Amino acid sequence: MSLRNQFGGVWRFFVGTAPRRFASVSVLLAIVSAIAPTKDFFSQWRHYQEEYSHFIRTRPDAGRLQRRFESGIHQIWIPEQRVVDRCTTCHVALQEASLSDVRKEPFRPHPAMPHSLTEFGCVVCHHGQGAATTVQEAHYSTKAWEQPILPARYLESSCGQCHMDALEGTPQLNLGRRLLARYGCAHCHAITQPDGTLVAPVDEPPSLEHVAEKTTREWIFAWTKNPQAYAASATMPNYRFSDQEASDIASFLVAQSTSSDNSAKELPKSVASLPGSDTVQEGTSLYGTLFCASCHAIQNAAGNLVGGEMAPELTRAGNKVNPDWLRRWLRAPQGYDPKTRMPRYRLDEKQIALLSSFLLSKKDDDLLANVHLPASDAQSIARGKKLVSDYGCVACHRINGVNPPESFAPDLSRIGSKPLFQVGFLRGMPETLPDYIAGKIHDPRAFGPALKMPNFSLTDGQIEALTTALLAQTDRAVTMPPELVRSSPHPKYHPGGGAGRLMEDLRCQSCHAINGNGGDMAPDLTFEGSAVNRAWLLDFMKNPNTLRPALIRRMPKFNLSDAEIKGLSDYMLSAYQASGFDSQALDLSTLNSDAATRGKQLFYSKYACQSCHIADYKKDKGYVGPALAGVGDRLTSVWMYRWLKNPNALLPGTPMPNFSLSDNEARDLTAFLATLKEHKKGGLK
Amino acid sequence: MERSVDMPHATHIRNPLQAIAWWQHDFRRMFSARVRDAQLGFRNTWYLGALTLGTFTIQVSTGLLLMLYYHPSIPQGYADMKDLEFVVSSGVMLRSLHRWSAHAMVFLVFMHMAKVFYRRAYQPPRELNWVVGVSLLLATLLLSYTGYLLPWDQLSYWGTTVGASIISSMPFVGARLRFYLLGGHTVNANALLRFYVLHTMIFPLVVIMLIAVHLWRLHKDGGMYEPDEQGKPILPDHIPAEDDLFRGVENEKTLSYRELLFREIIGIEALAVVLFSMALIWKAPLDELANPLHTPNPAKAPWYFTGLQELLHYFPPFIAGIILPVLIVSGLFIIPFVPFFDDVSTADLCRWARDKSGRTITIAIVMLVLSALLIRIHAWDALLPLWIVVTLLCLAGRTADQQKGFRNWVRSRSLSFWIMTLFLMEAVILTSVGTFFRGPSWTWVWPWRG
Repeated sequence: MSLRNQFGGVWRFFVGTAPRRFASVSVLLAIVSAIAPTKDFFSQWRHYQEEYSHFIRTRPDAGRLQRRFESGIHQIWIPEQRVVDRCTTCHVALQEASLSDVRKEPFRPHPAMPHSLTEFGCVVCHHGQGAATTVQEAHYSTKAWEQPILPARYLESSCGQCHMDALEGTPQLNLGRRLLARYGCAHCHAITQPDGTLVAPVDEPPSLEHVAEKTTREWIFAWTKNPQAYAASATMPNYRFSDQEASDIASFLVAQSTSSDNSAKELPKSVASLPGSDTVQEGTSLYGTLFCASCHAIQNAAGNLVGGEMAPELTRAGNKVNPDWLRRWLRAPQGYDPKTRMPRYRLDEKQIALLSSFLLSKKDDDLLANVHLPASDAQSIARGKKLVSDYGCVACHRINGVNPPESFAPDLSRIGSKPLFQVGFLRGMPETLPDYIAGKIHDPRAFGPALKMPNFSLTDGQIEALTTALLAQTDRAVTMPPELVRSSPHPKYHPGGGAGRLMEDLRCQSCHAINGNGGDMAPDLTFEGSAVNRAWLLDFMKNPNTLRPALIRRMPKFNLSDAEIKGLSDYMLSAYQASGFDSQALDLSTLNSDAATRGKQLFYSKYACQSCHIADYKKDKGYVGPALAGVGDRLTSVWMYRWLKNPNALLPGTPMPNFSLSDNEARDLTAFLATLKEHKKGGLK
Repeated sequence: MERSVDMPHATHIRNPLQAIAWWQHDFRRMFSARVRDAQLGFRNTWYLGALTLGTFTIQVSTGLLLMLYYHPSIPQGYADMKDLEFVVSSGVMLRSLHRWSAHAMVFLVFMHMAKVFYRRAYQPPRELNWVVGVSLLLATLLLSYTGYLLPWDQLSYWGTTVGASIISSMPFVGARLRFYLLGGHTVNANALLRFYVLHTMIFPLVVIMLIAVHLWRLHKDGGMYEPDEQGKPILPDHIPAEDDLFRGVENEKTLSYRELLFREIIGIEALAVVLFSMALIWKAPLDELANPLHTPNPAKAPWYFTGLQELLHYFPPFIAGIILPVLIVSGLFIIPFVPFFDDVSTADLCRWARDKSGRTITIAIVMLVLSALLIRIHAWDALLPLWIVVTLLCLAGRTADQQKGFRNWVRSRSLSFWIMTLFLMEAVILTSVGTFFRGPSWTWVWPWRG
């Protein structure tokens, strides 16, 4: 039979008559209907589970693992939070600690974490589509689900949705939040935190209301063009102004400047009036003994920045400041800027003259060498005013005649949940939200014409930290019910009365924290009244010495009068008490010499305290904790006892470990420490 | 010849066999006792009615299964879609089958209507059946529209919102009608519940009842439609007595209804194979969860309404959304009741204009006026079918009466043929344009360029 006949025969066999057609179509339908249930059998998650059950047979604890393994779809279901996370269907071994050496996904167990899997599910931290059981839909951005898995390097942002405190396990997030506050982002962008408050900036951009007294138009021009050329550590961003624009701004700022309170006062004498002294040497050592470096930094000859970051960098201060202004400032900072954090040092005329000559010698001749500005005219000033308004300078600086803008920059409270249809990406960049945020911070004006956000010259690590902090600002974070927000809010604290006014004048809270308010550069004074002896306190305020010899920063000597010292000390001793602290708790008669001998044994042998603390400067080299060489003068015995028993109760977060000392051991140690007294007043031995 | 069974009265059924016989009898009453060979063939009806019924059966069964998993609430409905996709055994298949069968049902019901029209199977006494059929068409569209919202994704939400806005453009009652439809002022939880009830209860019951009436009327009207030699329908009261009917046609096979039923079932099964395969290959799409704050651009209606959306581009909502659809639907309903259009053929039309040049001028004027109207509103795509039909009419007009050939065939077409053909061509073109050639902000895009 020919092929055509054969084919015809087969064809007729299957579809020749109506009943045969019926049979053929029915069989075909049955086959097609069977495909879908069969496909179920070969689903992706089943494949992974089978692979897992084969894999665990090779493990030493195979029996236990097999007993704990159930096949089928697993899910973490928390209906109150609308969580349906099926990640554990493929990632079956998340809670199997014995598989911690396994590197192959999806069989790796979850690394140690502060929350359990069933507390919040997976998606709240890792994002992605929890309800999905296929790799593509669960991990990647698809038509049905825009948000992909969060890259691991930004993972800490999820902690920030609930936690507002600086946690130990989230260094990246903490750094990012610090940068957000320090680089002034919060001046232009409103960022609402989970507890409803706005992020408060911690940088203090100076007021420009009297700027013409302080500096010149040329300096303002150079600064506006490139702040980091004047001070490498300046947090002011670069607005990429043209020469014309910078000149106009400088003209306007000088024109709007009014007189400050200081300008009317008598001018302190300059160094020229001082008879024959080695002013440079004396000025340098005065700068050192006053410990200005606690707050200000200066680049040394090797190019390293030495000093603190709380106050402006002074490397080229001589280029910037008007000498008259400087001397008036040193005498009374609040006369120029009532809100400045710099304390009033009560310097005498000679000190002012020496210090100002030292600072004025800090200059870089190249900085302003080529700056020649045209004369300032009305059009230039008008253009400058427009520029100052348009670019939002007043969001940070106070300027006469220009009102602070409201909502100058987009609200970033929910930037972590920004839908991608609202985002314009650059050509060639990966189209994810973290990449957008990082790219925007890196080069803001690339994302469109006529954008105003300036360039912040941050390192990649800083940008990654900032992106982490911003990704924490999700819809969930902002709408979190208050009982789920983890923060320890500190109400604002300002000391009152005459002592309080003195503490304001001295700006104690710039460095010291009291009742949760203030800086973290110096010891927390919240319970200082319970801790220290009165005699020591009076002596210290007169001549501050150091408790930590390894540090550069020191408490400055404020040249306070005896009356002022007494007033402050009395206030601190009575007001800054620890609650429930009973100064009679310890029977001081038990602190005898036998106890001291036992205590010395404990100190050096049993607990090796000398690894962190210095009890004897000649022998010990422990620089972690404060030096204890004079602790018997400084701390009260009751405080020492209570501290040794439970340090964290008196100073939460302290690095001092809790040794679980018995009462007797604590008492003996206290007795020993009470014998450590320095007989010289003030200063190191 | 089939021997008639001695049928007991219903109250005298005494054993199961008699019961089965009674059901068979009843079942047969739906179908004519005899069918002729000419009526059996595929080319007669393409089995479209049966295929439509087949898709409806698939919809009911998949729909019932889907109802086991679906909660009509926000956002649980969308979460249930996810469950169907990822957890339920064969869930993807179930949902995809339901979706593609829905599209197939709409397509088939339009085809069935067109086929019935072109066969002239609406002639008396089948007018009521035609009206029931058009009602079924509307019910099918409404079933589709209400079901579209249930997944509660972006596509569903915005498609429904656009549809509801069209309704609100009706004068006087539009806003209120929209409120009744949605159970509120926006598409929200109330609308979802309302659409769910309409989709799973009310419209299916309506459709089932209408199908029952449709099939019963079919039987009463003499079964499968078949014109006699003169092209006139064989009416029930003109059906000759059985013996007369088959006297001259002993050679022709007479078959029982089973033969027709068999063929239709084969057709339905073949359709099922096709739909099942489609459901296996192409997963039903699911967008992101509905976001009332983000309108996708473009927000397109389901494909059977994109033609209407395209019209909306040219006419204001009242014209394109209310007037034109009302005109179209009314036109469909009254087809059996205006035999004038059936009786006027193209040749008759041509004779009305006395000479060739007169004919040409008349046609030219009509065409120019209509074209000008369309061009004025920039409806380029709607011009094409108009010109094709007019070209064919011109072709008909320029030939003398001949006996055979394509031109003669064109001359013998009735006016109703041209109107329906024009309407169908416009519908196809506008729907295609709306589905494939329209992009963001309804601008023209070439689909291959994206």
